[in-house]
Amino acid sequence: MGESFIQLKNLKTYFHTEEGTVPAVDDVSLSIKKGETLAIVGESGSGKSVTSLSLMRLIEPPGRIESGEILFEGHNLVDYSKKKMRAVRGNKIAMIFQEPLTSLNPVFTVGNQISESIIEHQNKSKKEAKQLVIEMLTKVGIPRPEKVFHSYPHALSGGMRQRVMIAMALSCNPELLIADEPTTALDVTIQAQILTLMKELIREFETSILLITHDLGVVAEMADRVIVMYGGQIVEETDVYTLFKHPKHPYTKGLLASTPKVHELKEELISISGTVPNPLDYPIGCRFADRCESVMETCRTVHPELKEIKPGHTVRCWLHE
Amino acid sequence: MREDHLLEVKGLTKFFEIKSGFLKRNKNDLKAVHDVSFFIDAGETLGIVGESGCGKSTTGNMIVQLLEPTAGEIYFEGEDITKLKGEALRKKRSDIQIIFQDPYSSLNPRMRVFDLIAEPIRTHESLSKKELEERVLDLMEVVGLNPSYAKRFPHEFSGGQRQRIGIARAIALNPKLIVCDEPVSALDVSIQSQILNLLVKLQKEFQITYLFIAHGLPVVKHISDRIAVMYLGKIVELTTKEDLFLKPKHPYTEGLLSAIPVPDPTQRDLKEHRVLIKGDIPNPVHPPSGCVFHPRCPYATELCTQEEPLFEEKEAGHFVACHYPLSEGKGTIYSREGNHDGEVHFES
Repeated sequence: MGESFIQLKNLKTYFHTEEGTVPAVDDVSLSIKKGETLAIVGESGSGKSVTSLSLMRLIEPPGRIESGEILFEGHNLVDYSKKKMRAVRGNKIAMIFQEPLTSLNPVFTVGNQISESIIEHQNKSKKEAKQLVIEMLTKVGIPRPEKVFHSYPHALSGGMRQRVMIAMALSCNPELLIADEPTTALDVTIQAQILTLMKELIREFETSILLITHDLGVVAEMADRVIVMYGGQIVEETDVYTLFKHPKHPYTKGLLASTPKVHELKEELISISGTVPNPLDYPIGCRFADRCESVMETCRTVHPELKEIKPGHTVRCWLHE
Repeated sequence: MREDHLLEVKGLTKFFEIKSGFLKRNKNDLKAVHDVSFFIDAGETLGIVGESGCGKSTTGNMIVQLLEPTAGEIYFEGEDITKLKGEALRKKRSDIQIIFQDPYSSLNPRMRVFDLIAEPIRTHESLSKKELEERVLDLMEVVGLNPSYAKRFPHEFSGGQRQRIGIARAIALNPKLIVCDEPVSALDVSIQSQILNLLVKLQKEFQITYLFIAHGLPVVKHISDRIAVMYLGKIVELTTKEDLFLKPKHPYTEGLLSAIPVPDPTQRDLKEHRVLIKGDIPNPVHPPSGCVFHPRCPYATELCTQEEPLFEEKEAGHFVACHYPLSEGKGTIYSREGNHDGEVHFES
């Protein structure tokens, strides 16, 4: 694992709705190193998906990237034109989504859709592309790839569709693969198959991965480093082992404690009280203050900054000042 | 039929007719639930787990009489409720309630919280206006909703709070049995545990019996006394929670257990050797011959492809439908990793 090759610097993506402005991504900085799997964990509305969509420049109005930089191979993607961005998207940065049925085009065959990006980005002929597609379909464990090549997405099962998505995403050998809840819509036995497949492919292609998920089990199996998001901001960032062993932020601790653990016979299930704050009206202090067990006077009045408490371990919490 | 069984189902079956082809002349049966039998004792929680299409929700819907069984009996307090009609059925309905998965689509968006919770009471009991109001506000408090929100509409609430409204509706008539159909699947992790803890609290307070349906073992584990595992319309294993997790006998249960990601990164290398269930869930319109699980089973033999295994009590209270049930400790996550204490230790 070498240098960080993609960096977000103070990224702000806001949505201007009729009710007001939603700071969906509020000053997020992160970097991904070559060959590394970085996971972003958080619950609905934490801003994890909008962060990844911003990175791909897929934010549509009323959303907008307000400020910040997305540095990739020495260029700032925020300044890229639509046309220039298309050459990056699907080629150097690819993405797989949660629901493969809605992200595949129902009126084109599987082969047609995967070939499209290969022909577009790699200057291959139709025949060469087909050969490559079948090779990719075989790699992602699809039985009878020649038949699947000519099938339409609806004829495939959920697990097969996600394999097709992965084949499509990896067909141009991207530097970065963004996987947004890649297994959330799948049954648990199929999820295990897809996670195993992803691990094998990471090893083979040495692709860096930005994994967006709400499932700490998936994080524990896949990630090298983890970012925990809450209310549009990063609240904790560290390597995966430290996060599970020595979590610092009360929200991270709460998330870990409220995750049901099948592998322990412990009965008690700890929950975080309350609900996420309204993004139209974040409190001036810490955004987690209302739900925090260790809340102090300062937490309600002053917004905490992200501080490095140990090399590589940052926390946004007044307890760790 | 034993006295202490609050609910007992025998040979419960539901086929849906699928029409296809020219003029819909081809008729096939989708065997959603096929010959399922189990019982629930008063005060206990039976979990039903299985993946999409295994028939767990269909089973729940038949018990609350939202679907009519194709065959089989459902005994509630000793009486076969599939035979009840009219007033007798209406009376029984108030004893058996359901909580649905999606708190967004299961509440009428045009009704205020007060009316949503009052609706079942109005239907089944005649209370004065004042008594009704007291009862509803009391219910709101019991499920952890601020009674001052009674005049609000469902869209003003978060998913977790909406599920609390659904729970208040379900307990409004003091039911004996509640079918919980994936009540936390649509919620965030931190909210899931709030709702699970609320359900446990209500069970203790009001002596409610639960049939708890979920697609994943982690959620079911926390709330259930016994767990039934379903696959393609059949129960393949049913036993106490401890036995199911410590010594599963059905290869599918073993596979389900080993497929769950462990929230502990130090275990990830051990998991590389896990038993992966291969392939996809077959089409329930054309289920495999013999044991329905044989195409995906790592231990299947010739016998499994031909003969359907019986659902038998292999040990006291431990039912399995398998020709080659796993012996104790074989292949379980616990024996392989030898680590019962994977707890998260916090540093202060």
